[in-house]
Amino acid sequence: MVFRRLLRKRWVLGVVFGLSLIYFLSSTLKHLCSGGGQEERTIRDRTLLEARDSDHHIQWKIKFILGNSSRQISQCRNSIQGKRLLTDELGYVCERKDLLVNGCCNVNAPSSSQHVCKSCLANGCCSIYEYCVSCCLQPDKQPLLERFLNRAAEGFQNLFTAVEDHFELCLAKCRTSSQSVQHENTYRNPQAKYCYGESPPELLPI
Amino acid sequence: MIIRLCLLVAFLGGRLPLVGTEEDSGPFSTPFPSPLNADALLSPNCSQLTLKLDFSTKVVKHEYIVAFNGYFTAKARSDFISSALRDVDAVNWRIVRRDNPASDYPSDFEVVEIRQDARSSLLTLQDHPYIKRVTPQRMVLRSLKLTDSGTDGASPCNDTRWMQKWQSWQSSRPLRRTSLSLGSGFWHATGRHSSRRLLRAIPRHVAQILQADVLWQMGYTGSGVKVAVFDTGLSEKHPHFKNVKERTNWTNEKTLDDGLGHGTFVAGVIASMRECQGFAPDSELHIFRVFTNNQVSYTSWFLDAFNYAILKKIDVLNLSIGGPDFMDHPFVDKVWELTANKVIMVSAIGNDGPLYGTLNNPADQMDVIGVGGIDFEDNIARFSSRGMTTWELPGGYGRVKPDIVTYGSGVRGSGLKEGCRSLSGTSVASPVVAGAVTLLARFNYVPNGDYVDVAVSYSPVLWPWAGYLAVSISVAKKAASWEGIAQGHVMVTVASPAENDSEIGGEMTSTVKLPVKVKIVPTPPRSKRILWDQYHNLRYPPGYFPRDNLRMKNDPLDWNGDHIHTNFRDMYQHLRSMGYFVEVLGAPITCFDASQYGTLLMVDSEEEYFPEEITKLRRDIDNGLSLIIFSDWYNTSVMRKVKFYDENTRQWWMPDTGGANVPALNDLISVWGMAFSDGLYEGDFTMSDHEMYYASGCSIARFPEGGIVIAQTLKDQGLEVLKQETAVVENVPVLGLYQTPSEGGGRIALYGDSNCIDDSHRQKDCFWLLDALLQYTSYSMSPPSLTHSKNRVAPPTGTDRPLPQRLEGNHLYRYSKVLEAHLGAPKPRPLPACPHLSWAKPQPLNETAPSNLWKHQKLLSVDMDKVVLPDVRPYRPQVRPLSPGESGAWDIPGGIMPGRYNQEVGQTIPMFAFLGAMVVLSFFVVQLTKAKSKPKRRKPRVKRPLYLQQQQQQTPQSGKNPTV
Repeated sequence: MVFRRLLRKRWVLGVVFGLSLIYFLSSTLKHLCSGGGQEERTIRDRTLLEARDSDHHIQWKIKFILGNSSRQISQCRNSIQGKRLLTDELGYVCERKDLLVNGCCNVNAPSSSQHVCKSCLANGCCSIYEYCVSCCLQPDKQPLLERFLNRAAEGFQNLFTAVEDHFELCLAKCRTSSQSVQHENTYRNPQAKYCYGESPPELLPI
Repeated sequence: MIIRLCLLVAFLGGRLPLVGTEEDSGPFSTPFPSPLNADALLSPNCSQLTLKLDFSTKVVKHEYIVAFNGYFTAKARSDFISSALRDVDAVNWRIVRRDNPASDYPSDFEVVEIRQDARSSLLTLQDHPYIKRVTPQRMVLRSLKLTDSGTDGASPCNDTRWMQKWQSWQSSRPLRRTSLSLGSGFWHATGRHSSRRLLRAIPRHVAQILQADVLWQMGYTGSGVKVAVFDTGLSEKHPHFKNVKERTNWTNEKTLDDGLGHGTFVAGVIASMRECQGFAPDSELHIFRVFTNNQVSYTSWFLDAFNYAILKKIDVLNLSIGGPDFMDHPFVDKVWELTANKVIMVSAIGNDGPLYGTLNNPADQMDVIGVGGIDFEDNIARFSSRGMTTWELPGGYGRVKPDIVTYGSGVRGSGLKEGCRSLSGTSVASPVVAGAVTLLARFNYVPNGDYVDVAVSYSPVLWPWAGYLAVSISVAKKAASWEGIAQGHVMVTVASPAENDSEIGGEMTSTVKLPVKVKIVPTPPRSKRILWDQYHNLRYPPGYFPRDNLRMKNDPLDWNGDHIHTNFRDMYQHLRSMGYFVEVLGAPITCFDASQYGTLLMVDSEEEYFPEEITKLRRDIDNGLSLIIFSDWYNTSVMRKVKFYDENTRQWWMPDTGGANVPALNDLISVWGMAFSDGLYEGDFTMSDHEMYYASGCSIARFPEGGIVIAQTLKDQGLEVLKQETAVVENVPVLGLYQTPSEGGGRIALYGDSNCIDDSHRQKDCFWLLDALLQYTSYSMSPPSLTHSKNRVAPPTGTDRPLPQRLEGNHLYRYSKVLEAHLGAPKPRPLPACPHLSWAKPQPLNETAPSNLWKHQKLLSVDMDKVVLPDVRPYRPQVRPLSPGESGAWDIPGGIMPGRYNQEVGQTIPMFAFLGAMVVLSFFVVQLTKAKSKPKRRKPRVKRPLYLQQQQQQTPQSGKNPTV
């Protein structure tokens, strides 16, 4: 009896209503926040990786040494990873067996050639990594690379502020990256996926 | 550098992969696959150092252990012994006191010293009802010895410091069994050298038990090694770390700090310098934050972060994450690129155990060191993923992973802000460092006798750092009826090209001797030999092959490989225990000699068939081969219904087959007038007194006259999935047995559901049915319980319903070995050539091998008798906590996700607190009003509705957070 009378009291009903309202609001808001946030975040992910037209600049510090291809050096860095081919820092591509002990390509070997763009397409994407690096090392690619660096997306800031010279830039630029994929787990273009140019690989339908 | 690398290997070298078969000689993703066990510690450049462990026991005079049938107090034990010895005139006996903390508790044994007339006393003692047995007391002696074979003195590891250290070990201090000496942990860790297992206290720090301090004292603390940790980040001012070189963020959250604690913990195991110490406190840490606090990550973030790691010339990269998607080409290619750039990659094998076939990528890759977990009692941790990789399927036999197992259960590491915490999971991976192997040159093998043929196939160039060396072993014709053990070794010489930064200069060669030991049995009779068709089972593909049991909604993909060593392991073990011999067919049906086998077993096949296979199988069955098919569901409407939108790849996933590829199977068996239907049924029933569960299977639509067909009453699950209606269908034909009419022809058995022999999601097994079917196919014995069953029906003619057609526009051709894209419908490819093995020329030894060689081999070979295989028989059906659309996402292996808990609890605590406060407040208000109105009387009725009210407020809240 007491309880029934109690329930009729206005303030008791008020408290019950208030609690329900608070619960409803909080759960709805939480749901909205997480749901909306997810979507927003996904959009932001994408834009993070795309070049912006704004004046955003990354502080790159690369020194291009023009005409360095003819200089004589005793030790070479090279692209290390190739199973059959390698590119040295002078832009020579050679077979692994023609690599000298100092890391340079044997320029006299028939397989060696400098600044070759074999397998590369007009959009700056190549099907063989070593040729991409070699092509990228051509002196006339410098303006293209500088333009790219000036417009590089925020997502690449770490990488391209850490590279120090033309060779490192070409090694890093030619690798497959977030720009090379569609749907995360497929290449945009499985045939020509190593790009030195500004544009990502051409999008092929899967 | 090289010395430092040796050191890290030694840290974790105490384990070797425990799962292996005798004839398997795995590809070497580490350059020294076999010597890494406790009795021979060989590092790549100091192979002349061998550590030997001697173990001997001797009987202690006059002392005997009296074992009781149960646990009794000291007084009771003493009473039993004295009452037993009362009858004998043995006066000269006493109980040897054992003063240890356990003496306060009941024990089941007593040590008794009997000086005179021991024999008769012992006999009397043994007659006592409470005494189980009496055995002489033994003393166990262990000693560690260093033998220096000393052939190559110029090796870089022949350093005085190493020698000095080992010399101190050579003093061969006998270790009494009762004392747990500090140093014993590492060398005895496998427990394989003792008939009794040492019980060790649970150590506090994993670095201690693996004896990292020995190496620290020698000055190897990891300085100069760049270690990258790909995880959830690390706080800037964490007190445990002194050498964090760089922290980078690759996620969309603008922070470098760890919000979960996972990254901090992993970094702590590697490099913490105080409290819970890591292995290499001086190493240079590079923290890559690739996971958000919500554990979200994308392949593209990894690609960019990996590029940065290559640029920074990282030495060791730890990736305590994994996912099932090893067909994520961009990611997998990038991992190869990393290892090609001399980054040593260490990754957790996954926390999806104990189901077999659950290895995660990238740890299952040949060039990555995959780390599994054990607990501090040296058992494989239950959560640790296991089995073999499905990478190379159907070719070869499978590859054993993980490469190494180490402590992964209850390991202590750095806490989120400070202090230490314990975590479990294969994420507790550690930097193990591997050397470099490049070009493979030549090898020979020396079998004991010429009873086996050995063929070796290998990648022509081992690049980067890893390749395969596959050893195929076949028994020679002349040994067809011989029984025994053949052993020998395969010698591999690896030549690495000269490099400008190597100190030695010139080509480096190293030789590895792989012991091979095979047990040979006489060729079994045809009826005992079963061929498992692997070629038509598709391994986990990038396409969507839905699960076989539609009820298991949290595990949408069929990803375990469908192999006898993965999710059909229980079935395989059952068949072996029944005396059958199972072989795996990794090639088209055209590639085997059917006259050798009794039954071809095809389970849950997703692949299509070459026309040549269909004709060959028909011919084989006319000539006496039998066939058992376990099919699964295929219904195009249901397939369209179970499509889903994948958040990670942002596309619709439409199944490419059903549970099995029924239209293709129907093409295969149509010549006998058989076909499966597109019905989808589910339900419990009893068959021959066995409880059965039919989990999303099809029915038999057509069956020839004269066959035995069993029908059951099942629920129409198709209707349930499509329209949410329940309908019971009677007389659904589920099982069919048929004897082909030709002279000496084989038999065919069909069953509509594969779930009852599959380990994943199995609820009730039906191995008895498999036995009965094999009895029928192998020995032509029709099981009477089936032939005289009341459920036997007339064979269905199936003319009333059309047979299932392939789903319009499916993309099976993308993943198929049989189909290729074509204008219009996909067409079969040309039939591939059967694999051909060229048998190596043996260099046989005498039947009686020289004793020194034999000993040497014994030292190296994996002794299968003593290897402790994990005991995983009883387990419940797997429920894997993964959302649909996990393909592009990488999940932190589940067992080590305390962060998720913390986070959600964190969110809900204020809500709960608030609600609780409100309830308490209202309670007091009610009490107050009650006290005012009726101060004397208590009414129990008041309480109940209030309680209800309280519940109403709380239940929706708990429903919101089902995971806590």
